[in-house]
Amino acid sequence: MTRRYGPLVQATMIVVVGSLLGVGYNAVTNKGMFSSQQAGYRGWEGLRDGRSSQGGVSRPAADSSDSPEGKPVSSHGSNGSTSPVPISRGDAVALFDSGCAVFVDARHKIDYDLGHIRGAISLPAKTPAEEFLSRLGDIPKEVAVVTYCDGAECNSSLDLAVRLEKAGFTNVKVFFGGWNEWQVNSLPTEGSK
Amino acid sequence: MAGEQPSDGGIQVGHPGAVWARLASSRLITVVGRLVLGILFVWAAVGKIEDPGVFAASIENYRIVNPAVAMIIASILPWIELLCGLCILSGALRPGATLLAAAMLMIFTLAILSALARGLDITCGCLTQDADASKIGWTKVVENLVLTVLAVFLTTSRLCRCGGYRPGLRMK
Repeated sequence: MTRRYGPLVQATMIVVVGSLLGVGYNAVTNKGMFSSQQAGYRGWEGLRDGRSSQGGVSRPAADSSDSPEGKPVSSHGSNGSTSPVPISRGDAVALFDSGCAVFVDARHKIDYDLGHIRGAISLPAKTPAEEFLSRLGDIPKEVAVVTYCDGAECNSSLDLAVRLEKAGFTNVKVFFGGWNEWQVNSLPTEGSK
Repeated sequence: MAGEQPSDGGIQVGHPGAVWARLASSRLITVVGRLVLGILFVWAAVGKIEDPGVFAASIENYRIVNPAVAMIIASILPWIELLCGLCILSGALRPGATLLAAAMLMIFTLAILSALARGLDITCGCLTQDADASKIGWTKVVENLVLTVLAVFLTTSRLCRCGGYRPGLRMK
């Protein structure tokens, strides 16, 4: 059989058959591109706030002026259970001004030192477990915690938010606009830059 | 005849490709190579098939495609990798499978290089100025390049033993 078809034809056959198997398997098992919800994705129980559940993670646009405002600040998701809640820049600013929220920077320490949201603490998403809680100090578990990274396409803020929830924090929010959106709008920052 | 280079079964001794051709003609080396590449592809594919969502997130970290396309790729690519690995191990459609493996590995390598050039940490999809973040990327580049060479080697190995490739053969 190998002598009947050239390598290119054989490779094409593998791609076609593999694609059909992939589509069929995911359609039958309701996974991947046929998933009706993002259950299990990074430990998160599903998308909220009207974001699309089709085709993977769809985050709010980095420029909040073009996207609907996020849900009102709340400690609970739409189904009543606690879960990281995505918030818009407006909500993040409201929490910042209230002084009642702790902002947590999920980026690398070097990026944090170069500049961060004023008052934010550095807690890179991949901080080892043994020092994860020590970095949070005595922050009460019910205090609003807002995680962010560099922007909407970065996954660190999501990962960090999930870790915080697993650590017992009940009021975790994710500011997807992140550092880029914050500084572009000339909001309060600090750092070496 | 005077002036002719000594040859070995049609392979010009001293030709730059002679060593490659001899290695590619070794059944032991090709069997070991097939096992390594085939098992790696199958093993990598199984984990991704189980959880396409996590794989889609990994693809998104490269910031090359949008989440919808990333999920389509995550749903289909592992199955292509699985078939590729099984074909390499079984020998069915092997020239095509090794060629496809080499192509996929080169694409993965280019994606990593693209991320590194943009200052991305591919473990999280974050833009960063932390030099340490690029170490994982460069390690993956080296790994992929080695596997690419292996896949190309196996492709030419098949052709060598089928008589379809003779480096340095002088045709009259």
